[in-house]
Amino acid sequence: MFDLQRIKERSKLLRPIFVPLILYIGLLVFSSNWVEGNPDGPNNFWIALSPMLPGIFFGLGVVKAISRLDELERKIRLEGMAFSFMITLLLVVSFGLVEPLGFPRINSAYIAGVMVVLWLIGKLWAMRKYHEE
Amino acid sequence: MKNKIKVLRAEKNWSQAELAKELGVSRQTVNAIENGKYDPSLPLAFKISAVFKLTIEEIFLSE
Repeated sequence: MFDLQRIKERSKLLRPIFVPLILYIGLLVFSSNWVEGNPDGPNNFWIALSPMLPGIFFGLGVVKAISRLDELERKIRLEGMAFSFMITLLLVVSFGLVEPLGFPRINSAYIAGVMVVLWLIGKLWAMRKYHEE
Repeated sequence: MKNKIKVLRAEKNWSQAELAKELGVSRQTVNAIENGKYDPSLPLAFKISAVFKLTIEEIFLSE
């Protein structure tokens, strides 16, 4: 059923997560390109670290949002996180094993993005399990 | 774990959303409990028993 009130509540709850996440991705792309294009720039240290500022707000937003959820919703998020953590771990270790064979090195900052996408997939999977009628 | 929440809710003419509001949880959580997809925690089970003025044993049945 289309529940407008619930959608409003959800978007209010998720705003502190998605706004910093979008800023994080934007700054990550910008700072990576900037540092690559200006390898001797005087402020490269701070520019390279700049995505971490919205990253901190993203972390705080996640903690705040999870604390406001009811017990089943919290369980769903937790199962999503477990799924994301395990798949990311398997992917990273697999990539680490094939790197010596000539595979390109991956930027560790992009792993965070992979974790978030996998968390969403894990959450949808857990939601199906509990909300199926 | 089986439960009689759907029947008890129907007796009171409540929607899932109304019961969810009483319990301070989402409608989806009430739906999952009613369908036996999720067993509530003990504090939530006590809240449910208080809302329906019944004991936990009268609402929840072990399979």
